[in-house]
Amino acid sequence: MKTATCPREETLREAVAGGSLDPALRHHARQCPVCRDVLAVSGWMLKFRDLTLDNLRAHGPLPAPQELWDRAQAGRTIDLGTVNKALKPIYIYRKIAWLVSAVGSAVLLLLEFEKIKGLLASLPGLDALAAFLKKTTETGGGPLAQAIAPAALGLAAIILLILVTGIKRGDTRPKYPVHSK
Amino acid sequence: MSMSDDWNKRNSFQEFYGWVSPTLRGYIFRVCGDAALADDIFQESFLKYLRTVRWDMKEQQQKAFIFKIASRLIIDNFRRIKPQALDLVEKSGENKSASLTHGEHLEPDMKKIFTTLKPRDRSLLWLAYVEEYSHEEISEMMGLKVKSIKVLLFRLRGAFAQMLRSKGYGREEQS
Repeated sequence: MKTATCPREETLREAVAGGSLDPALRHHARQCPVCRDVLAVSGWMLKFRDLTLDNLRAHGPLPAPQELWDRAQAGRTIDLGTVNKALKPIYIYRKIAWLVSAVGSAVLLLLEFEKIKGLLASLPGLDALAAFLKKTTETGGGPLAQAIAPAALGLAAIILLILVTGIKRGDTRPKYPVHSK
Repeated sequence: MSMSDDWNKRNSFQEFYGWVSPTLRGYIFRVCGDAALADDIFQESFLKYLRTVRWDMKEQQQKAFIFKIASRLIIDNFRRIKPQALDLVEKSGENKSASLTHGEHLEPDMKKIFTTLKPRDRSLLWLAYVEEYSHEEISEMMGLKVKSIKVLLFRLRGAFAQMLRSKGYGREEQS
C-alpha cells in the first residue's frame, strides 16, 4: 500500500502542539490532503488529551511517588517470613506424603511378611550375616551380640533416612540473600 | 548504594513522576478505557520502571521508556483478556450529536470515535499525535517495524479524520 507523505508533516505537528500555527503553514494545510488530516487529527487529539487530563484530575488523586518508590524497593528484597508462609502448604503436603509412605510400608511389611522373609533369605549376603551371628552366639557372644547387629543396621537406616529428608528440605530453601524487613 | 546516591535518585524520581504521571495516566486510561485497569497498569508501569531504569538516561528518554513499559503492559493485558468495547451503549449510537459547538459534546464524541478503534490503534494515535513521538520511537515502544508504523498511522489518520469530519469536527482551524 502506498502511503502519502508530506515533508511539512512534522513541522505541522510541532506547530499544532506548540500552538504556533503560522498563516503560511495553515494555508499549506488547506491545500495538502496529508497535512489537512494531520492538522485535524493533531488538533482534536490534543483537545481530547486536555479534556482527559481534566477528567482524571477530578476522578481521583495519583498515588504518591514515595509510595511507589517504597513498593519498588520492597520488591527487591525477599522477606523470609513471606517465603516460609508461601512454602507452608508444600511442607505440610511433604510431611503427609512421608507419613503415608511410612504407614503404607509398615502395612505392606505386615501383610507380606512371609514373602519378604523368603526374599531376604534368598539374598547371598544375608546368609553370610546369619552364619556370622550364629557363630557369634556359639562362641559365647550371647543374646546381647545377637541384638547389636540388627540394631546397628536399623540405626544406619534411620541415619540414611534423616540425611535424605534433610537434603530434600534444604533444596527448597531460597538460595539468594534474604533480607528480612 | 550510598545514602546520598539513594536520596538523589529518590528526588529525581519525584520530579520525573510529577512531570510524566498525568500524561501517562491519561494515555493508559484512554487506551484501556477502564479506570481501575488503567490505575493498575499505571502503578505497575512505575514499579517496572523503578526496577529497571538506568538513571543516567535523559528525562525524555526516561519518559519514552516508561511509555514503552506502559504500552507493552497494555498489549499484554489485551492479549490475555479479549478487548472490550469501552461503552457498548455508546457504540450503538448513531451520529446524532454532530457537535459544531464543541464544548461539552467534544469529550463524549471523541470518546465514541476512539472507542471504535482497536487498542493498538488508540495507542498509535495517542503516541503520535498527543505525545508526538517519531515513527522510530513508536516502533520501539510497540515492538513493530517502522514501515508498519508508517502504514498503520497513514491508514488510521485518514480513517480518524474522516470520522471526525462525520461528527462535525472537520474544521481544524478551530484550534
